[in-house]
Amino acid sequence: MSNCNPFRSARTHLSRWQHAIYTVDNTSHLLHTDANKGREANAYLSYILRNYESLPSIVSFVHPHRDGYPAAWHNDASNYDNVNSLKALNIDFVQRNGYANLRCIWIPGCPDEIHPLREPPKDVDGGESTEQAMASVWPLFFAPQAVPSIIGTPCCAQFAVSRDQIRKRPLLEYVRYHDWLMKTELSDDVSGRVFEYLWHIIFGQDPI
Amino acid sequence: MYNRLVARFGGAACVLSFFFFLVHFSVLHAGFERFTRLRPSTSSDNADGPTEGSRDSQIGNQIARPPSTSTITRPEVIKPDHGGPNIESPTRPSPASTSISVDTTTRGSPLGSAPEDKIVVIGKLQHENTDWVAEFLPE
Repeated sequence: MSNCNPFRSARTHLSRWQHAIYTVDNTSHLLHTDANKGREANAYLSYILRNYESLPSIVSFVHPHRDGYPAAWHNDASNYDNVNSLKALNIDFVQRNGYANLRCIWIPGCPDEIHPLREPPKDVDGGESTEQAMASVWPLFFAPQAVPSIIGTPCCAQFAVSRDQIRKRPLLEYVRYHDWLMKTELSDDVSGRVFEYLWHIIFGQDPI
Repeated sequence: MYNRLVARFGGAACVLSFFFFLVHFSVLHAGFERFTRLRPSTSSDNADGPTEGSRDSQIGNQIARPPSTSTITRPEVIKPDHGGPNIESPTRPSPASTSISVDTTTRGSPLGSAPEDKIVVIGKLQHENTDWVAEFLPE
């Protein structure tokens, strides 16, 4: 987990950020998703699709809850506070590496949360499993790359990405991801989790 | 008496003449040496190394001529790309960020507060409160 504590610093304490808050269940809001589908992945992809040509140098994708347990248990910072996470974010590292997961704690997610080819798949819920979904999604997104046998990353789909890293994939690829998210019949739980374990790969990291 | 007087004067004259000769010879010798030092150098003079004059001229050339750029270790230059300069340079510990410092100066933002260059993206349900974003990450 090369993006963890050794690379963090408080140097960005005084930095300020813009924010783009997408409401997923009310299309009358200025920024909104077209449908309430796919959890945070929908908002993240909507932002990229609409701003691909005018991205700032760093984009942090985070959840709406700020702090406290259990609501913000995803956040890996003192008091589970995402303000602290963002203040501690090492912008320099994000620029160099292209991607940084905001969570350093391995569990859940590491070292091998998803085995797309596992039989039988783990954690089947209502006839659906993230592992099975991953095996079917991978060729649609990343062919001709073979489906990896293991995917692992710190959970929870909160991360920072550089503009350059986002643009290493053409806009049409993000269109394809979003189309799949809007059309899939998988539950939001599963489709959102599929992206949760794909973001780091989409942005240039190895599956594990 | 007369003979003795002549002998004394003669001896003194000889001594003085000899002394005068010595002084005159040493002066002439010094003048000759000085003459040989001031003569212009020739190519054959440099066979065993440069003269003072030629060495000075070589040093002068070295100072006047800019050093070869191929031998300089240049600092890393990170060019700004789409959308404007990189404003994160104040956080960069490396001394090799000269060009980025310039970019920051043009923004007038020594503390790195350039809100247009970083963004937090959030998806939320309409009832979820995200006021904390505006409070802690002001536009």
